[in-house]
Amino acid sequence: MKIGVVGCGGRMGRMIVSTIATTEGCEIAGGTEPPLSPLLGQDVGAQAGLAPAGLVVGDDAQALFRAADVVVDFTAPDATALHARLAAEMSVPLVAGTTGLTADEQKAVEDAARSVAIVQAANMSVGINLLLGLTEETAAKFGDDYDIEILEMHHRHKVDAPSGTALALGRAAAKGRGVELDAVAQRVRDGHTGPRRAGDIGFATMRGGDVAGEHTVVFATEASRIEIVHRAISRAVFAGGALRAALWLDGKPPGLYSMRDVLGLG
Amino acid sequence: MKIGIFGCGGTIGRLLVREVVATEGCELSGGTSRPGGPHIGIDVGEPAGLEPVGLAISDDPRAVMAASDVIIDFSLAPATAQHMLLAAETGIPVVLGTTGFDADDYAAIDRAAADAAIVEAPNTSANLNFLLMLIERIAGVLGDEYDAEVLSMSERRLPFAPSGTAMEVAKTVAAGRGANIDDVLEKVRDGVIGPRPPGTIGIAVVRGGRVSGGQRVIFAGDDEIVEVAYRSTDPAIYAKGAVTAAQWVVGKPPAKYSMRDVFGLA
Repeated sequence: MKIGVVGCGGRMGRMIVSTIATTEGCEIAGGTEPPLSPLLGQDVGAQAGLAPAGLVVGDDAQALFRAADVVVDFTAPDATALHARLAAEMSVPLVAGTTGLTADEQKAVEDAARSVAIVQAANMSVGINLLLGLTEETAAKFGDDYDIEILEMHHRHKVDAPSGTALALGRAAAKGRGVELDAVAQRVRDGHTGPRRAGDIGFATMRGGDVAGEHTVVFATEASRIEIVHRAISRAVFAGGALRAALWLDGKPPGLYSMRDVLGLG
Repeated sequence: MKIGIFGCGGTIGRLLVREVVATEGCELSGGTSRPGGPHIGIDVGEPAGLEPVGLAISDDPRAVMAASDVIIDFSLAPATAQHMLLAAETGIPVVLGTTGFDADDYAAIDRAAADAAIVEAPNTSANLNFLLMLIERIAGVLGDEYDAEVLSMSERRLPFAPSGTAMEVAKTVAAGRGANIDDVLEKVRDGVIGPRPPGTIGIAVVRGGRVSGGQRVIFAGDDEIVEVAYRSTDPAIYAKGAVTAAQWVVGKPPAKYSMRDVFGLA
């Protein structure tokens, strides 16, 4: 499958290019960068730290869509809206990993998905999406006699807590229970907290070292407990998930899909 | 419902006696222990720390089976083949919690299942069986690009390794990948073992403590790791699950069933 990479010179773009090179069944169709980018004219493979691919970084997204079976997009919100329209016009499926879209930009993606298959996800990691699906399902299966706690650890430079992924896991658990996370979240515990309230979803945050990101969801009841854990090792995990989505899109009917669809988690 | 217990003097056997006596709609119909062992002839309630129940511990499984609607068997593997013959002869269903089987034992179980309903139950915890369902799904989604390792802890007295539960976990990973566990299992590593062969499933065994047990499955990919874990701190949950299985299996047609069938965890 020939994969085009818009924004091929960005951090994720370069990682996608190099992951394509090592993924069976994938071939690079070309890459683009915005006009005025210093990377224009360079070799797509060489600028990603690989052997030359014999393809030059261009600024013509339309030409890239023409050459590709599927396009992967980790760019900027306004660019992603444009790429979604191109995908629809040219009937080339799109994997969209850009975050921070405005309502209008999101609508452009949804409109495009009426005529072409698009996978859109804020986090393309196979493992995290697996964790989100299993957390929701497990929370739905178990009642309030199972206490849910979410433990996360990240490197010392991270400035917000709990992590966005920890909160997403909390929302998945709350959704499984049919409640709003804000109504049941215990984000901190300090001092005389009293006994744990049934139905709460607790968070605990650790910071230290260079930990790329670890999340544990605990379901604890009397005499036993279950844990579901994800440990990120490198950002390449997002590129691997994006390519899995790209391969999955082959032959899919128009629609807006999530990573859970890609992974068959319903 | 009249429930007979094979191996009623063992750790789980004693808990089973208490659980059956305490469960509404269940009645204890007898218990067996190893012929020549210290428990033969004493009251079934005594090893369990109960008041006498008016039944002497027998060394005759046939007599106990004849008095029962269903048998819960937590005895020892060498007795299993005989117990399975009796089940086939009488059609009395059996919840088989015994572990440590060899190939002949498994063949005896399969033969008996033609004539009696047998629940093969290496682990009767509802939560562990829920975890097995998750493990099968995770293994299917991640495939064998993620190296799967099982880390299994059992109480210090368990005389064989891996435990029945650890093997069930490993089999479940293999099933999720569409593989046969016999082709991919790596049970021991010692000395210069060379690099990990792709597609294998490793089991690491630890032993310690009196009651605590746990299973952890690690799916290690290049860029991320997914883990699920189960811990139990009170073996009474195994007795509870076994009695649930006994109530479920009475009236079922002859076949081999699993605890996941009992709990509806397809």
